[in-house]
Amino acid sequence: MIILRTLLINVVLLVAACGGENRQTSSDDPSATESKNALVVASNYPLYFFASRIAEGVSVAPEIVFPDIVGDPAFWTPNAEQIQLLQSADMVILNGAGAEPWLDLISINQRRLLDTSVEITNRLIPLEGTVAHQHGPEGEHSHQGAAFTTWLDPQLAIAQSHAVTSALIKLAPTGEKLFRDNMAKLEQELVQLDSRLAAVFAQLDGRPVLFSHPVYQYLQHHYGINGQSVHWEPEQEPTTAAWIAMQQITATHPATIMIWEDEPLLSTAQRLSDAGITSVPFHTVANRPDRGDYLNVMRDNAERIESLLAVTELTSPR
Amino acid sequence: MSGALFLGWRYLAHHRFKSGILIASITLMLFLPAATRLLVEDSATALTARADVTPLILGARGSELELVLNTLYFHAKSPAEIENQAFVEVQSTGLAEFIPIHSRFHSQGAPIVGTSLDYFDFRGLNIADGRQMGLLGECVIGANVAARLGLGPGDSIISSPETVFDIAGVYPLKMTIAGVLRSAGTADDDAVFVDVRTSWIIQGLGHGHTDLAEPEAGAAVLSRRDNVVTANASLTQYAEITPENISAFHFHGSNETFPLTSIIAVPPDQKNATLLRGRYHDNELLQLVLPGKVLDDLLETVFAVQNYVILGLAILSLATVAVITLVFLLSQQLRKGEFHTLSRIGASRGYISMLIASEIGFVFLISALLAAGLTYVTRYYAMQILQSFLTL
Repeated sequence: MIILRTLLINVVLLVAACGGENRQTSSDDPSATESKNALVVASNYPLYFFASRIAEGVSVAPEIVFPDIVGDPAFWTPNAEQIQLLQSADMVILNGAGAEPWLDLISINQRRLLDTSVEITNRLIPLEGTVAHQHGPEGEHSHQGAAFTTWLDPQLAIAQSHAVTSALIKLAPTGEKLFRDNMAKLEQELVQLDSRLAAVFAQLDGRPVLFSHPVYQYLQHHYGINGQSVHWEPEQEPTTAAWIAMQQITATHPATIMIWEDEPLLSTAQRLSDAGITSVPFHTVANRPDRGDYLNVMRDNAERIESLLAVTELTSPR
Repeated sequence: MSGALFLGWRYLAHHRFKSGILIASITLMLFLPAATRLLVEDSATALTARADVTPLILGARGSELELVLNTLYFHAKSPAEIENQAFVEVQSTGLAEFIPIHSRFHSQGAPIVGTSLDYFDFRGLNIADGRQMGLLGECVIGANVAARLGLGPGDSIISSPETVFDIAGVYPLKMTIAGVLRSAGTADDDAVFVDVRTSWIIQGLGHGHTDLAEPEAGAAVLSRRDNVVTANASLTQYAEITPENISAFHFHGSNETFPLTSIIAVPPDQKNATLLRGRYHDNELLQLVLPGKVLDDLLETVFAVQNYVILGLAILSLATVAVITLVFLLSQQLRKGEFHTLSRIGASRGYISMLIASEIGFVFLISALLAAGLTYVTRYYAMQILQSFLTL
């Protein structure tokens, strides 16, 4: 019995010693605790511009990245590499207001998203005129939201920039003072831009204007522009139906200026001109401009409108 | 000395059948109690280890054990569901980090777990091959799923329809494998992970089709009136999400009404955990449970049963020892002539005692080695055995 007990104890101890490793979890963490600046990805160019200006010259500031996006960032579908960039970011700053429909299409850490429109929700303008459709038992539904070109209203841009500042401070607290100083300078420039645009659009004095695309809601609202929108693309010839629709609008809304996202086709501009409507681009600067930055482009926009108003006789269309 | 050992060994070898029965009896006598105890302890350790690192689970009121096991092991066929509204509400409290779990569907025998990227950070799961899931419709698969099905990044996996005869039910979705997870030795190795919205698409709450406002949808349009387009049954829905058609995917209804099977809550400290528990103390639809405590309750029962089993085995072992002792004593009686002959040719009493002891020793040694080997093998496969029980 003594032998038996001894053997039993030894065997149990032997097995316990052999099989004691814990196979529950693998805790090896490949992410080394390397000290480096955080990474912030902006979802459109204006946010990238604001964040870059706020972070300018701050050594501890996060690296601000704006992905290479072809066309309007609101219609962007990130590719695999861009998704990896977004997933690896410490923070993704979003315009909000429905400007990032791609968020519904990708897997991303929700806690790292910063919606810069949260504080201005009550100032967002709902979209109108979306097409509803019905199939299956769920009934009618449509895919609508708010207008998202918030940065065309410099006051909203200031509010969004404050949200960006808070986020950068959270990521790099030691840079708080410099971030706030930069924000103050940016705010000053945006206020100046606001004053300039207000002075320019005040010259319209309530006279009707056409917008080529429904993207100027905030500009229209903030500066009290008497505008109506068609749905034309600058690089496309409008269809006959589009011309008829425009004529129906101008019958009650005798605009002499059409504001475009970009230079329209010469043929379109000429035909509009024949109808007594002068075309003028007002770039929305949603994506990185070929030249200059957000403020340059917006100032150029203001200057073009001002020059046009100086030389154009604001009469009703023929 | 060596002569006695040699004779003892030869005796056992000559009487193979008798020796075999003795060794088998003693092996089982040693193996069964040890294996039972170690298997239960290993299982308990594994169960509680996964439960202990899962601070709180929010789910539908009902069986706490079902809720915990389905959240930790994704085993339930028809788990109780809660609305995503609960996730939105609890998240707004800011008392913890919250991870949604929607584990209802399967693909080729593996559970499909709809969750967020936070889950991978929370469980310490890393990608061994490929990349993290990106677009909706992509998935990452556990190491065991990859090995079992021979799949890797770039391959596809199809969700299983819930019922063959339900034509209005859940249609299969072809999912692209973005990556394979490094083996973690847990239930995560046997799962297919997707974004929670992908699992909602599998459930039919979201889908993609031709834009009905576009002329290409012509044949599928039943009527157009004002700003409403009604489609007919010929409208084809996409069975796979690709970069080309992903923008056509959308959800119907408010996603706050969409289902989850549970929510993992990771509070930063005990105070927040207590505050969170207080919020759901009297909730009629939801319950917030401590997985560790729920499994401790289960294990208490298991350990009680185990003690009875071991007691039974101990009594059986005593009987076995008694029988083996009897066998050896009877054997000595039968071998009296043999021992007398050995004595006559000069073997001392000590030599004969050594011979008998060596026979007994060899039997026990071989039995002990066999029992140790069997116990080691059993313990090695303990997790697989546990998993198979949990996924029944």
